[in-house]
Amino acid sequence: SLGQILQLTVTVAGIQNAPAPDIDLGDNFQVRDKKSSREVSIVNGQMTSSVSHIYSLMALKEGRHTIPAVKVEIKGKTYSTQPVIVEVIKGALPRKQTSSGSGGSDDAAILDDLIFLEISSDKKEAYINEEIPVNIRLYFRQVSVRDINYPQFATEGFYKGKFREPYQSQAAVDGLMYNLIDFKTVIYPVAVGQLTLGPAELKCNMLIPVKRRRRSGGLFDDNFFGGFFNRQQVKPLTLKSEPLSITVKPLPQANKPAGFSGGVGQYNFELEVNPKKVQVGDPLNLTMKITGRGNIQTVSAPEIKGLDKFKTYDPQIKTELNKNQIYIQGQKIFEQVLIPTQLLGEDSAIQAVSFSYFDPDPGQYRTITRGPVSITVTPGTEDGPARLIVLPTEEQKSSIEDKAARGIVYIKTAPLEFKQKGRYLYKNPLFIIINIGPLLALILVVIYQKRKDRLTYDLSYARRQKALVRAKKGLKQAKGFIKNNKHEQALNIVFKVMREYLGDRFNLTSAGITHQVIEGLPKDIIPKPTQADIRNFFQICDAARFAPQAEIKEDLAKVMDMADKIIKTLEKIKD
Amino acid sequence: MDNISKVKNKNRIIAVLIVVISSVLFSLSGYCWAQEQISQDNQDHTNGNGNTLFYQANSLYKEAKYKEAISAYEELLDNNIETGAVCYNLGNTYFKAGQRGRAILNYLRAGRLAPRDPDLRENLSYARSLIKGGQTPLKGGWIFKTWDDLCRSITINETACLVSVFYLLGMVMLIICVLNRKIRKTLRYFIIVSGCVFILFALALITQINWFEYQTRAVAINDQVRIVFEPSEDAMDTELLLYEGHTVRIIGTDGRFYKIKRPDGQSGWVRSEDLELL
Repeated sequence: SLGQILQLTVTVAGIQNAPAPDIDLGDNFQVRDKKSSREVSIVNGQMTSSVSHIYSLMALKEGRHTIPAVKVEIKGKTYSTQPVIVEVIKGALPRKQTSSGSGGSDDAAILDDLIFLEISSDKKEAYINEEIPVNIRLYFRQVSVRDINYPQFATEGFYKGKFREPYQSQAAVDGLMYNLIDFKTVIYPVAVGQLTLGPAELKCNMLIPVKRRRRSGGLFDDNFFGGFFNRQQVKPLTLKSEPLSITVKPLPQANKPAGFSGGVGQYNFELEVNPKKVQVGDPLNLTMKITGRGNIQTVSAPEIKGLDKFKTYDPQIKTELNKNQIYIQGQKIFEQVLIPTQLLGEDSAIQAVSFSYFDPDPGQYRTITRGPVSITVTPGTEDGPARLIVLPTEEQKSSIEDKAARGIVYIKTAPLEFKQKGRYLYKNPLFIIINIGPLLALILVVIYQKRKDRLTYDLSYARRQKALVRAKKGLKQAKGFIKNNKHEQALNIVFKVMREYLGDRFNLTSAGITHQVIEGLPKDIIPKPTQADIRNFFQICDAARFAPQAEIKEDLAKVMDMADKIIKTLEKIKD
Repeated sequence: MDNISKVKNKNRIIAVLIVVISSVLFSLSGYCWAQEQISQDNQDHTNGNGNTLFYQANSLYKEAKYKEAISAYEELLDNNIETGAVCYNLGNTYFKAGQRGRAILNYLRAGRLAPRDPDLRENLSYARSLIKGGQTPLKGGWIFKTWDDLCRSITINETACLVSVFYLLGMVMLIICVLNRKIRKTLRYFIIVSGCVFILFALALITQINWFEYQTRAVAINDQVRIVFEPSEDAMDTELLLYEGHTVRIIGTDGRFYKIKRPDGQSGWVRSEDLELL
């Protein structure tokens, strides 16, 4: 078909070496690859040899084309083949439709040409519950792809099977060779109508070679070094296919068997009764085994008729699926216990059991009938007829249920604890508070520890933190001295307090602070009036220390106010 | 010098142990206090009639008057209260009355309150074994199933308590680490273990809250319930059935119909009278 590769082999026999002939293929075909092989064989001491030239041709145009006769000239003699007629039909592989990446529309179009995803199925029309194989194919060329995830697709109205291990091959699409990764799975429609499968989505990383810009003409410009120095850019991609439309038909009503229980696929049915000879009141095991391929989980137990002389229990159902297949295949076993309630004699039997299923391939219902199975029911040896169980009437049904209910554990005799509905512990405010408490404690502890660490390791911070406390303490002491008329001592204390405060506040040596030291203070952060106050404070203090008692008292009041004001202003300044 | 450091280390370990134990005790006492408050509220709510009704219902059950016993147990539950024992007994009564779907429903309700009760497990498993169509297998791998089993084996209150204990333990150890650098190395592994266990139980709690508060599950109370494609009386059959006792998830409603999802992932519409919400 169009775009596919075909091989043309020209064999020249009886010679060990022949040049590859030129073939004029016109516009109809393109030579994609050319290979030669030589074969030498010796049979019964006679040597034969041949040379084959193999051309991989790709069909470019639809229609009936003729590959002309190929001529080979050997030792001056021309040999010729017959022309070959090739019919090229429309390409079976559809051109990619959609793939989504990132980037502008031009980039997206280029990207679509390099890598795309496709979802397809051979079955476009199926019955409900029929197995439909689905192929999701990733096509790419000229790029490397890695970290390929399994595709995801919307399966509204379908039951999805597992994916088979993907396999890689090559395929030609629109005359271009693509690498192909094929993911196969199966689906089972559970709804009737025109259903849409997909679009399929696949995530992967694409590697794009990125050439470095280099000066031309250098040693590293040739292809060999180019391979080493070209970087590869990783581009994460989410590829999206077109959705696939599938028509799901309901199972036909015509010829639907009465006992049909919903199975669609290909099944086998077996019936086994064990033991075949029992006494009245002893149990018989009736095993029905349905094996096959199809959505076996939906199959229910075939009906067994003519059990009015038996006490029956509901069947135990066991489903075993083959986990290695992508489609559903396995077996469903129905084990039913039957207890004969009457003497049935030696020639009695369990009636034939029919299992019906729908085989979608021919589109027909099929019925497998097994049995009847002969059994012998003899009277009991010890209790005899006393073991007979009388068949239930409608009125006795609850009594029968009561007997079945003997298997359950007795009721609780104490109520334990009554709980209000929906009152859960995690909603209780107290419980929430209890749990928030430790978090707050942790936050406080972290803050405390950080401060403690800073006080230990950051001396200036520690002095800054202590400055105000110490100043307040000192001023309080000074006030005490003033009260006791010890003005000189009070003045000394205020002077000392201010020196220490400034030292601590700006991390300076307290002993060296006088009115001149104001020059060393950070003037940019201290307001000018405060700078003047500090200068005045030290000048007044210096003057007062050598002044008579009466003047000290006057100055003391002034410096106390100034000290208070300076400290308040400096405390407001943020470092 | 060595002796002094040994004594210091010993004192440090004792101090840590005291803090850890006291924090666990604090957490447990808080839990008990909160529980007691809830219980007190519950007692107030039942006006002390709960026990009387319970014993009356038990007597009716013993006399095989199942209809009357069902009414009595239902009356208890209608008072907006629940206990594992009432739901379990109601499950037994329904079972005896031949209504296996409702029996399974009440066993499942009891399972939320007393998930490890061996009698309950036994009866639920027996009742489920009698479901005609067999149990629909749970979709998902072994991790999903193990997680499901783990979350179903503890009550939501127990999970909340475990989350709280491990959270508190982790917090206390973190506080100790902040205050005492020397013990950080020793406590590091305990904090990691405690943190992992806390995350595990916190995820379990989130799962349970999601189940109980946001997901609606239901049990089929009639046999051979048809699953249809659309929420209408004349909708086409999906060929799928629900048998009495099958548990499903409600994923939507439309008038008298519920949109359901079976544990095997199959979905469709079912009439609301065929199901009872968990």
